Amino acid sequence: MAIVDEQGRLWGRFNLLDAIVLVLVVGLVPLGYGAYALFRTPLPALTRVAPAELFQGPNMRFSVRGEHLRPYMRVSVGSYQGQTFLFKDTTEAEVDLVDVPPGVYDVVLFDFAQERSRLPKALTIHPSVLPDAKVVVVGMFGNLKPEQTASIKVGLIVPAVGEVVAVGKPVSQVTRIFSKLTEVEVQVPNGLMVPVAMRMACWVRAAQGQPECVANGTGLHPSALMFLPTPVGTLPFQIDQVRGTQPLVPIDITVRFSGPPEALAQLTIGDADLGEITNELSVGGRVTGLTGGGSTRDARLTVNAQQGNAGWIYTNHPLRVGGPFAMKNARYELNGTIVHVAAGAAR
Amino acid sequence: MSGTRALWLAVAAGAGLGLAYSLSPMTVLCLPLLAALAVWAGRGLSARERRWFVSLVTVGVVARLVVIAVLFVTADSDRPFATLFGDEEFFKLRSVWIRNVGLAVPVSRADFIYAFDEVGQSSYLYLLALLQAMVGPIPYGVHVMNATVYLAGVLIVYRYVRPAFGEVAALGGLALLLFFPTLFVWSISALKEPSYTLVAVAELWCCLYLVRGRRWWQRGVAAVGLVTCIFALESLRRGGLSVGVAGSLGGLALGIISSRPRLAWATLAASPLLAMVLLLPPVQDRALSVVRSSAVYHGGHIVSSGYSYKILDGRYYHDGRLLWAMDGREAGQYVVRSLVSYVTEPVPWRAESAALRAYLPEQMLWYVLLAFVPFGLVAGLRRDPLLTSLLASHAGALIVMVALTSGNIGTLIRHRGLALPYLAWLAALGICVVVGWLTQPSRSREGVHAYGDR
Repeated sequence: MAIVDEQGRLWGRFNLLDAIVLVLVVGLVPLGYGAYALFRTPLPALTRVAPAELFQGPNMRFSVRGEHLRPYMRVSVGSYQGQTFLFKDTTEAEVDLVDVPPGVYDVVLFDFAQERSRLPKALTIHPSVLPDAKVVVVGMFGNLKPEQTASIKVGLIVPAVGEVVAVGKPVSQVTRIFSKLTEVEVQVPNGLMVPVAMRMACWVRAAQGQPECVANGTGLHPSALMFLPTPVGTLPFQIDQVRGTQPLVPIDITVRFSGPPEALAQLTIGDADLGEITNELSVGGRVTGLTGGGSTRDARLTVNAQQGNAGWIYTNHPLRVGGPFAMKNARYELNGTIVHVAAGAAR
Repeated sequence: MSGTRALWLAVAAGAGLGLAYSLSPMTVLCLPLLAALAVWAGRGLSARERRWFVSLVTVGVVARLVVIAVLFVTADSDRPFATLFGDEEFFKLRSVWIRNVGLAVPVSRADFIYAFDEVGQSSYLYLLALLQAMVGPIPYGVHVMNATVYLAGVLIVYRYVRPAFGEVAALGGLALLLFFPTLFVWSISALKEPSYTLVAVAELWCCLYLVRGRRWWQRGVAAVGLVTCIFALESLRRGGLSVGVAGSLGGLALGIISSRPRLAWATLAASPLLAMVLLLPPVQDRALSVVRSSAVYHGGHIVSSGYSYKILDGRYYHDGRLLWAMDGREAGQYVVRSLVSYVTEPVPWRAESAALRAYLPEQMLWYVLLAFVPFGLVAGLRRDPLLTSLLASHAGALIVMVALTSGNIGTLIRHRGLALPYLAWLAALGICVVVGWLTQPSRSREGVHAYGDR
């Protein structure tokens, strides 16, 4: 019996063309499945996190384990995006975190498009082993219009940062910026600044062994610029001075200034020590009496000092007989030696 | 065919279609559309012409599908998807993020920010997002869709160029637009160029029907369509509004004037008046301001990555702020040099990379095509003043806009492709005219008609 007969039928039963079409169609099914299996991107999933607990600080790194991971994926903890996704293989990657506050977080895996996997409450970040702290920060809220200055008042709570404890008079706005190692004052036309002292909560971190207090993601240092939420919107806040929370106490001291007679001749009763930065709320001192002349003059000053563990502290420097004292204001800068600290004030 | 057999065939066809749709929805949606467009565009052609037309379009489509298939098969699994160009990733990712945000699918916060970033905003992103909301992610389907969109634009222009310029010029223009190397690549890219081309073609079509509509409502619809298309162009790409307005108004005016000799003479007589208006200080100031802003764009291109060309005095590149004080003489020089650079860059002796050297053959083709455009322009104005004017004015508006703001060679080449869908038809007609002159010198003017059947 012929395989294909005279009428074009296969083994006398099937039309040859029909049979070819049928084989092609049937053949498409494994072909389609093969293509699907070959080109399908398997969905990734997270299985666990190691370590599951971290202490807040620099170098917060953890490892995610899972399946079908790819180099282009990302991980976040809660709403904080991981800084890196160091792909090791399809089952493991490492993630670095920066400035994530303490808490218990979901670990979420994203591919290029969307969330793909989530481990609920899989990572706990404990507070830094260094203690939390409170400091008083003196600075200026800027970018204010005249009608907005009244919104900055004592008792104002800045969420997650602190409370305003003192407010000064509005002044024209000047922002200090760094140009290499020097500071440049940038005038801001039509802008006003309001001096404030704020009691701030901060946490101590020790980057490369250098402890500093951090609030709102910013290390608290003179000239640091923060952006803080206020009733009139987010405002820049530039720090002028950071000090402890101890109360300010007026202390009488005597300082022997030496130097060119022309410079010493500038000293007059009533002069203020304003320090490096002019802010009426910065700790200051005032000259109350003068003796001597020529190249050496003794000045009696009343300074606002704080009680420290080892004695009185003025502008973050100890007040000790024999110690240095620098007096700065708009007219002069003089260096001297403390020759007397009032006995009643000494510890 | 028995009822049972028909039923089985229908079921098998449906299952096959479903399977194909689940693998590539855009391919299933686009290919029938493309076939329908080709059938529509090929109506009324002679048998010989139809063979050429079908061959060109079939090769054009198959070649594009093959390249897209190769892109898909050679994708690296370490990347979310393969792309032809770096910029495509930007459109593919952002459109998926916008789609996911719209569908309330959780996305990374960083992706949310980048999805709505001001830089690179285009309605094309939202078009892709909408499509992906309907059919799912289309990292490769977008290439098929853009090929369809581009070919649709080309076939539509072919339909209304052919009666005016003749069959050979129309087939020549079609071949150029299907196979000009960079246009071939842009047409299958995930970039916004194909969509821009289709909307530009629709805008050109509306311009034509604004004049040629037989009934008042047809003209009204064309007017609404024209305005819509111009705003769509602007939403796709900044500057689309200027190109649309200048191209349509200029083209309509030129088309009407060139088809009415008396009006043409009157316009010529009034040209000194126009020149005086252009010399008025407020007009000069405005023009100077536009040129300065364009030069700032140019300066931005110079510092972008890739190869660039400089056409300003060196001090302007050293301190960009000086551009805002550029005087009229230097502004004039800048305009002339930028137009020259538009045509000549990348000059062959400064092809600094392997990619640019590989591009040189196309650059030669570009020079040749441009050389034929004036011949096509003159012949076209005799055959169909309105269509020719519209093609020329749109190309002119695009050339001026791109020339004044460019500085990066890669970007210039890409943006030059926007003018080619207008210039290709004029160049093809120009080639026909010149060939007609060379082969039939005694029929200098009539030679044009030998290459077309109006």
